[in-house]
Amino acid sequence: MALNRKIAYINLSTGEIETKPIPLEVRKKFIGGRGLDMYLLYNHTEPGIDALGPDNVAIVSAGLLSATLSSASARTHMAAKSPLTGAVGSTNMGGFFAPEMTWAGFHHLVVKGKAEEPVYIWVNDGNIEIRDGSHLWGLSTRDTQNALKQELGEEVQVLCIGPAGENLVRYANVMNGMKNAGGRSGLGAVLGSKNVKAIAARGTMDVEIRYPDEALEYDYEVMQHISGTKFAQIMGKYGTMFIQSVTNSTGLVRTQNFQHNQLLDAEPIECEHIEEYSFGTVGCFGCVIHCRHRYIVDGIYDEGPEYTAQGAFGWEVGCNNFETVLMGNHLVNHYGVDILEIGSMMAWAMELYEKGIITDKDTGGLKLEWGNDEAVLELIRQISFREGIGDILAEGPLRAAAKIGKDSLKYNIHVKGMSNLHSDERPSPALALGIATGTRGSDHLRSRPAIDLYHLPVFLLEKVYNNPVEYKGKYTSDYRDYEGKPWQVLWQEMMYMAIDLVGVCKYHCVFLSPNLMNFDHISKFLHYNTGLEMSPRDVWEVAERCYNIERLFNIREGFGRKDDTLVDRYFDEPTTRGLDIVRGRTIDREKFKGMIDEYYELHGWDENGVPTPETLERLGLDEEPSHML
Amino acid sequence: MQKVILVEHDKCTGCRLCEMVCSVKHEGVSNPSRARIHVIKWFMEGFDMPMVCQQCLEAPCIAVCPKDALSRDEELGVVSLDYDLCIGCKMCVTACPFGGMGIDTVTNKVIKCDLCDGDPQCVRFCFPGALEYVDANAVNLRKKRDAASKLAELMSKVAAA
Amino acid sequence: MAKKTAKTKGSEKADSRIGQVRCLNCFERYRVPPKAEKFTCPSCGWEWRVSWVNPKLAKIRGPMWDRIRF
Repeated sequence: MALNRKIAYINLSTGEIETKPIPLEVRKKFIGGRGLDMYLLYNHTEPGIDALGPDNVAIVSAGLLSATLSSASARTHMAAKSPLTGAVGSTNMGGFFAPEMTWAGFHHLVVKGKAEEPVYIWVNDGNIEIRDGSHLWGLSTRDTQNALKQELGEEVQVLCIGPAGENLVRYANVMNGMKNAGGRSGLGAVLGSKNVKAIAARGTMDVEIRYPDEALEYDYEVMQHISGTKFAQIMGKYGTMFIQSVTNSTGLVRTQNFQHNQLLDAEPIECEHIEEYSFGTVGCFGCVIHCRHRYIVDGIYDEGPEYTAQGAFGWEVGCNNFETVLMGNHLVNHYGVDILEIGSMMAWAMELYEKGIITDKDTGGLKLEWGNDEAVLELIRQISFREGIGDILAEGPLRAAAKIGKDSLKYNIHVKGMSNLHSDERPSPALALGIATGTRGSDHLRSRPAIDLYHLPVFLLEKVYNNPVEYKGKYTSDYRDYEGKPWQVLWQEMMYMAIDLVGVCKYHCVFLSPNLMNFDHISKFLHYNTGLEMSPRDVWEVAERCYNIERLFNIREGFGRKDDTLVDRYFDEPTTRGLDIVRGRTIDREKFKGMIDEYYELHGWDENGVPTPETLERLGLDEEPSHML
Repeated sequence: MQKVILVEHDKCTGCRLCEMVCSVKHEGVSNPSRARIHVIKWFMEGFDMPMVCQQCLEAPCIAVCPKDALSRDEELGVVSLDYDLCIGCKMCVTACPFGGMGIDTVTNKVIKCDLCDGDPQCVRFCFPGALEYVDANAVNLRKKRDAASKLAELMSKVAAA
Repeated sequence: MAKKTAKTKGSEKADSRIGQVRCLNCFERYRVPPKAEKFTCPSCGWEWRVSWVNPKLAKIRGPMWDRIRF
């Protein structure tokens, strides 16, 4: 039964390991996955700690519905205080680690302290051991996994860091498999600072399904529906790169560090080219969409690439070469560094180089010019190993800007110290609001109302967004409008939180298509697989509670309204390219302020973005930290 | 007409849903180690191969069983196991060259694919079409058609040029 | 790849949407002839290149890049 998976507290400083069951009342309050991780993070850390110090707590978890019949129940979540932003650190990855950890008997691992020598953690059928990992230190993410598979068996799943994590690059990631990356927030550096090279899991324990026959039938029905949608068919063939067909064609991408919003003559990096390099697609556990390709470039095999790879090594840095995209994707997976952050940092460095703020002297002769494919690939290596200019860029936007000085910060595009993704939100206020208010920093996977770009008719927006809680205001179909958008952002926050609580992939929910899973499906999956009775409204409430705990963590670390904003370029510099409907657009400061006001009010927060006492009481969070677990 | 499970590994996306539904169908739990089918992966080469009992005509497992607990059902085309006769000696596990016979560590019995009595769930849940349940006389024609269509695509490109 | 696709209730409706694309400039929906590689939107005149996910599903690939300058 998923409900009888345990939580383990692993203290690396003392070597103590404690395992406990997770009480049903905790499950009813927080369900699991990202929500319970945030509760644990809030309760087990003190404000103001050093994210790369021994007081930080790294929590790795599987969702409540992991390894059950719930469509793609494959996702692993990791939480800690972020070394990049100092706010909540949260990252989610696909693959096979969470199901394996679930079969091994655990849903949450809370890693505290710091090991003296490199170690790896071995999770196996109810037992946990801390083992010597010095033979793994220095290996790439792939070699680490191979070494552990040799040692422990081919069927083990490994979550590991690469050289970037070992070198405490502030946006290093954790990897499982070839390309399943927990990239944002720099949690690879947190594991690196604890001397944890990897967590290996192997499980052969039962996860009892409460109503097996009904679960099989319902899962089949949902999967058949999902696989029949246009979205799933396109994703299954091109991966997330198909998004570029819409966004770059319209003028909704960030190129050359925000100087433009469209890559011209972009035919060479259009997603259709993947067919020349790919020999099939591969998927995560239980998934019918299988959105990543198996490809070979320069004789090297890798998986992916995604929309962000096209962005990071394509339009963002002015490169227009598909092989650079493929090779860049390979290198970041190999070294274990966040693809999105590195793309943005490179673009920023290139603009600084263009403006003469950094010169050949700083880069050691590396020509950081727009479109220089070799420099891009070399810079990935330099950042991962902290060599040359890479050592400064590895610190992330705010610290690197402080080191470079002059007015370098003015050119950086970030929110709360985390770089923005490679899309241009100036024409789309809803998306701009989403990234400004995201809890882990600038982000497209915690609150992006992506379907806003589809110009859906109002009756369809009402059908999607009034379920299970109704919005009293007006919806607008045009993505350039400001009205009705704060609710769309809020609804999506709840949707993504709910999906992360149960550990299912977001591509199966209302993210890129309105016809996919929503709260009704989650409620049913919970019922058939675990017997937990929660209506869609109950699931929404748990999502709201968990989102508020995330917010409370940030408030406790000193974040507030002043941080829920965008850099000046969004407001002051109009877009230069694209279709008529998106050209010459900026975000209007007054209207943006109005959206933030409405957004806070809908959440039940005061004008500074702090949850009011009434909201905390309604959600049962008025006694935090409550130390239930 | 007897049906067989046709495995087309180049369509397999490695999602392992077949393993989970097999264990849910037979044991009511999600636990791939109690499944009768497994996807063998080489993750660094990008190769996934679903492996399942081949329901051999002259099965080694039948030959070695001291209690004749294994026998071939010609109607369904399946090698079936009679648990009332099985003594759990596990000689069949040793004999099978494909790993088709497994050991269920919860019940300590040997387990093998029983084609879900004619409605294999792994086939049903395989959306990419790597597992198909087809008439024995249609298997090779299906593979020939797939190969021919790849050739036809190539030929059309040559013809166009 | 052969795929099991849904035998949905709306399969007649789905058939009528074969080759349907939506212009990114004006958001109108039109049907494109099978295997077509180009599409000029009847409403706004914007020219697009088309690619086919499978024989029934078309998508906009991108604009005519050589025509776009600012």
